[in-house]
Amino acid sequence: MDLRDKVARIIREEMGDCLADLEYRGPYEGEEFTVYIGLRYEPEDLEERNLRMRDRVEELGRYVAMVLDFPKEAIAA
Amino acid sequence: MEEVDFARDTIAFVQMFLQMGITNPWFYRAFIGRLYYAAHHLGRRLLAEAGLQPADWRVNVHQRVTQELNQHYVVSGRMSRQAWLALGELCGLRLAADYELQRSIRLRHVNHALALFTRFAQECYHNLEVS
Repeated sequence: MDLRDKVARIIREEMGDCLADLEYRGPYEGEEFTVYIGLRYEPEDLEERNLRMRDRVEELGRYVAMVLDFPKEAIAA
Repeated sequence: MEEVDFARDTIAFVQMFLQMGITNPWFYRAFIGRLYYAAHHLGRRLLAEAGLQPADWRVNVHQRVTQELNQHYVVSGRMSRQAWLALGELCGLRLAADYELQRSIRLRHVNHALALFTRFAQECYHNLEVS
């Protein structure tokens, strides 16, 4: 499983059904890549999920940028 | 400390412009960029206080600041992992604002950047013993 797959799996596990899509871009400034995490809605525990996701990706030991792409109309689940 | 002054000015101006009702996405990109760099400079100040010389670094500076903050502040318990991760997330937002011109940058992103900046800056101020 390459880095992109590992990161995608972590994001899907943490974001669950609030995840709409993933888009890979870059690299821009030395990162492996930047992944845009499209959200269908903002769950109440988004902050906790976000922290766990970033912690787990950080443990992979590679520099990956992740950007939450909020829905145009934020809907709290 | 000029980094602390710059950080305070940055958040003050961003909040002022938002309260004025600025809604043009060009400004949103600028706000996110300035918030990131204010945080980046606070990080560099912390590292200087720890005896490093980030002013002399020339390669992968942003990543190195993040890595060294982890080594010198997070591992020792002087900075929470949450605050440290906030800097990394703010950097990603800045990359989006600077490079993804076709991507919509909205007020929600600015508010998120403000929250990330505040989380990181508060722990920096604590370590620098400033209010």
